Amino acid sequence: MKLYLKNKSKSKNGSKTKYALVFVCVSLLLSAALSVVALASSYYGNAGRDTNIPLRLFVCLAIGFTVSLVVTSVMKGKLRTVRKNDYANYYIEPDGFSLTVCDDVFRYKETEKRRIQRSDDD
Amino acid sequence: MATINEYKCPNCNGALVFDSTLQKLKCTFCDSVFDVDALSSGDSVLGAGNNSDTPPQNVQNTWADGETEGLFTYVCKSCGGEIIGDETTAAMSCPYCGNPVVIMGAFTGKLKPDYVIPFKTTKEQAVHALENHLKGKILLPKVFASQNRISEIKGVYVPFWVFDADTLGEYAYRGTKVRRWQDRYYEYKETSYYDIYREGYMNVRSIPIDCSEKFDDTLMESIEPFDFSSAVDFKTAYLAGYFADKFNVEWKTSWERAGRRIANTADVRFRNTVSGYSTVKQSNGDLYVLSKEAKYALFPVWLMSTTWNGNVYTFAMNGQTGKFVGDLPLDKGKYALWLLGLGFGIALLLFLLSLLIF
Repeated sequence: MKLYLKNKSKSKNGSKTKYALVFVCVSLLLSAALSVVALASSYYGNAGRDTNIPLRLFVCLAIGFTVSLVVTSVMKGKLRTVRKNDYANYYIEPDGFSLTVCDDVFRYKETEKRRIQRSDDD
Repeated sequence: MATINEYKCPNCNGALVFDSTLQKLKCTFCDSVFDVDALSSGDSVLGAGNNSDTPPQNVQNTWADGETEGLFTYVCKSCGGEIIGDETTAAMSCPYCGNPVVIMGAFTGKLKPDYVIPFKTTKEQAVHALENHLKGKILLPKVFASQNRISEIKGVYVPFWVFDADTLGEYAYRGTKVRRWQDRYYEYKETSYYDIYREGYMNVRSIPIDCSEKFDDTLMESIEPFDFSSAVDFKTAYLAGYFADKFNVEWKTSWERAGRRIANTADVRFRNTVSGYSTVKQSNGDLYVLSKEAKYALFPVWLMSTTWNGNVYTFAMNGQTGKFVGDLPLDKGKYALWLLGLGFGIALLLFLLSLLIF
């Protein structure tokens, strides 16, 4: 039994508009980011501070995209609810699990030692 | 030709369907309500030793060779219309008059289910559950969420093998405990090695394994659990108004899946009894099945499917508990927008903060 959607006819222009909007938003954000970086470089450069702008930018982008990847992965995961059930925990009888043997036997031990490097060793 | 049974109202001869809210048979015309037991006298033929597995007569004359394999016809008692089903069809509605019919031949002899869990949820609840399922999904294409597209939902009794098993597990592990300390000159690391043994019993009850090739096993596992304590002795009256199929997967095949699930569960349960170690590694593990039992039961499932962009999306709701599952499509444009927008936004914020703070 298949249900055919009463789908609104989606013109090619509609999806083009959507992608154009995405492109514009990303471009705006990128421009804003680069502007801030340029301003900061100029300001701190003139003030004589060594702020290592490229490294900061790289670290911030790495953290930013890691967080956004996690968030969007969670959002994407909500769309998938059909999963195999490889376990049967729900079906274990109440008090249906009991141990008859529970032995932890010590065998042997090994000890390693490492000298601590100190400056007064020299 | 196989006998088909239609439940008719004694008052007005209207069609009777099983009402999940009342848990009784209800007339669709005069709203009279009847107990299932009161109208189950026809079920006596199911256990009357009819061991014939001879399927109903195939359709002839109008089909090419091989085309009729697996197809069977029945005649609706209400309108005389020809109902076509496949070899596993057990209950359905007449496509002409909508009358619910039960195909008695599908439940005779060894084909007779032991139990059935009657529907506890209604079609309206299934529709509502689908609406809720589509809510809050930011990356779902907007057009998919339109309510106009849902037009049909089918209540189906899906056949399951239900297994009970008593097992004995014997597991061995290697564990280590690590202790570190230091003095003025040295750092010390002491590793103690242990052999760990665990043995015990694990009894599982009523694991359901879908035994019809028609239904996707993963979909059926997703809507678990089913509460078997609500199961009742099988009566065909429970099927009135719903679709039903009989099994076409033998219990030995289904037991392989059940056995795997039991073994995985035992592995985790026994492993969880080992604690207090830095590392634990299983060196051996055996699970012995001391006894097992299989029952054949029908479980209620609401099924609906839809096609969008050339893909079929199937949704299922547990007809007993109301648990709803179904994969949804991803709007790639929205995903890209969120990924890039959030990424750049957070990066910009962090960058500004870093300039202020450091």
